[in-house]
Amino acid sequence: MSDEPQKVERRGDRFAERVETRIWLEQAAPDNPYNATEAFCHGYALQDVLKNCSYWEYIYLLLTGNRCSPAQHALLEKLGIALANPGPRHPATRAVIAAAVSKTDPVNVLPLGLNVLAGAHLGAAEVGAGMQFLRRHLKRDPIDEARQRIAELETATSGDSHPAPGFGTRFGGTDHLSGALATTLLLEPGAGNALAWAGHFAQELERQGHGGWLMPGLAAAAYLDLGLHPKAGPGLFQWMSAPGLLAHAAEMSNKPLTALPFIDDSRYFIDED
Amino acid sequence: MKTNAIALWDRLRGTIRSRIGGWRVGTDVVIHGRGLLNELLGDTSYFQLLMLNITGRLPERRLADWVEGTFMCLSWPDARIWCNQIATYAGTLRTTPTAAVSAGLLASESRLYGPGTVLSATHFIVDALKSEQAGIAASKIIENYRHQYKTRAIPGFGRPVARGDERVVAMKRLAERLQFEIGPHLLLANSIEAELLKEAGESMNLAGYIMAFLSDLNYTAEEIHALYSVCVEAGLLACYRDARQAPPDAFMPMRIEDVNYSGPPPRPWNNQQ
Repeated sequence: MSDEPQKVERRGDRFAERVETRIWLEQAAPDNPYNATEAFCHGYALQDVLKNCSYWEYIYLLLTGNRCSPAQHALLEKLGIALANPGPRHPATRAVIAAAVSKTDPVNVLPLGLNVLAGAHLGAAEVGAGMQFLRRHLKRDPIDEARQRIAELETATSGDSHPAPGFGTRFGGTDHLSGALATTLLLEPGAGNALAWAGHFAQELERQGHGGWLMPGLAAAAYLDLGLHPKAGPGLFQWMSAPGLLAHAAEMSNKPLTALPFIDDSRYFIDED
Repeated sequence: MKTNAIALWDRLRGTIRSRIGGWRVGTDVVIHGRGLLNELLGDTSYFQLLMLNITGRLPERRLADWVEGTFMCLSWPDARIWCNQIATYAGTLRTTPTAAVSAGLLASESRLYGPGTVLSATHFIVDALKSEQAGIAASKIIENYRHQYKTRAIPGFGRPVARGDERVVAMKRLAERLQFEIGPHLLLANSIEAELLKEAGESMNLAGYIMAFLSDLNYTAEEIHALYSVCVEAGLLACYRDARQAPPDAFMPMRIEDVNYSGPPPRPWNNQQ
């Protein structure tokens, strides 16, 4: 350790003067360089897109720069339905319901729900991890991989276990709803290697009593089959789950504080130190 | 698979079991066995209380003052700092201060700065001390880390934009005034800094100093992560307020020509494609 005062100086980093994008081009208005008269998404005029393109085609174009095939389009649309509502028991939905009932400013309700949905357990972080897991293991045999991961599970875990991100138990058992949605998505022509591999993996977990598909795993596999990067997955999962959060919050927003349980003192236990 | 897989969930259903405390309506609030209103209020600083809430241990006042000092060093009113910039955007679009702070806090969970660096910096110095105790020299610890993680960056050392960290100097001064001794983690961090200074002029950053200091006082990485989760708040609010008092949409306005477009040129949308 030196007692001499440290010399602190700026590094010679060269920061960009301007932001660069491959996504969006605007044409400036002749009378005001801050306002646009036309915008282009990956080269396509927004007006053209508006007239000719479906919402999901446009989303795919925005995210990838490419136009999706009919099979990808159908898979994306079905996935959008599958993910649109985590349901009223999901902690992210319960968070927005609690906020709505307790009269949180409505502009904050969706962001706070998406924050909760960011988690590594049943949330966006698990989607990203699930995509990484699937990408790294697609060349392995899914049954062998499932067996190995089951064998490596710690026996003394309390609560749910996820042998791999996106797959495992929910409430100690199989999340049948995720499984049923996965089965439907697997029938789509756009379903590819990742969904198929994950289907075998989940099936083996279920056969051995270790759960199976979870929604983050379903999203992760479908995103990979759609050609999306793991860094895109978490945000896309949050966004695709947003409609359900909004709907449940809206349903509760005019209800009084008493519309939710407030656990009675007799059922609130403090474990003293 | 457990024989009664849902027993855990049934036991927890409809109750709250708290390890931290709770509100005794009309009497007091219990925090880790201590009464907030009748015991802590008036004798305990806010930072002592914050640390009690997070760790369950009430720190001595001088440590809470030291942590408060680090918060002062970690957040300044400069809208170029990335999280502050985000709070400024919030201000220029007239969000509430809470939304601005939330957005800025989320941004500060970064691998380059802010609370996002806590875990890696703490794990590094804790592991490094184990290595040193096993007889490995500081220079070898650096080399091993770089080899294992295939990076030149050492968590807790170096920082974006500038070389050197004037905040560490100031905090060391405060620690001396508060009569803290230098523990083994910090001693090792100083040795690692000496190696890095010799090699490339890189010094310990404030996160590296904080993690070594608190590791010496037996705070865990997770505790420190939680403690520093809101450490950039002051700068966020300062920048938010600055933008809030300026005309809306007036923070670094961009002309259309200020965006470099590098995507495909305008092209027609052809439905036959």
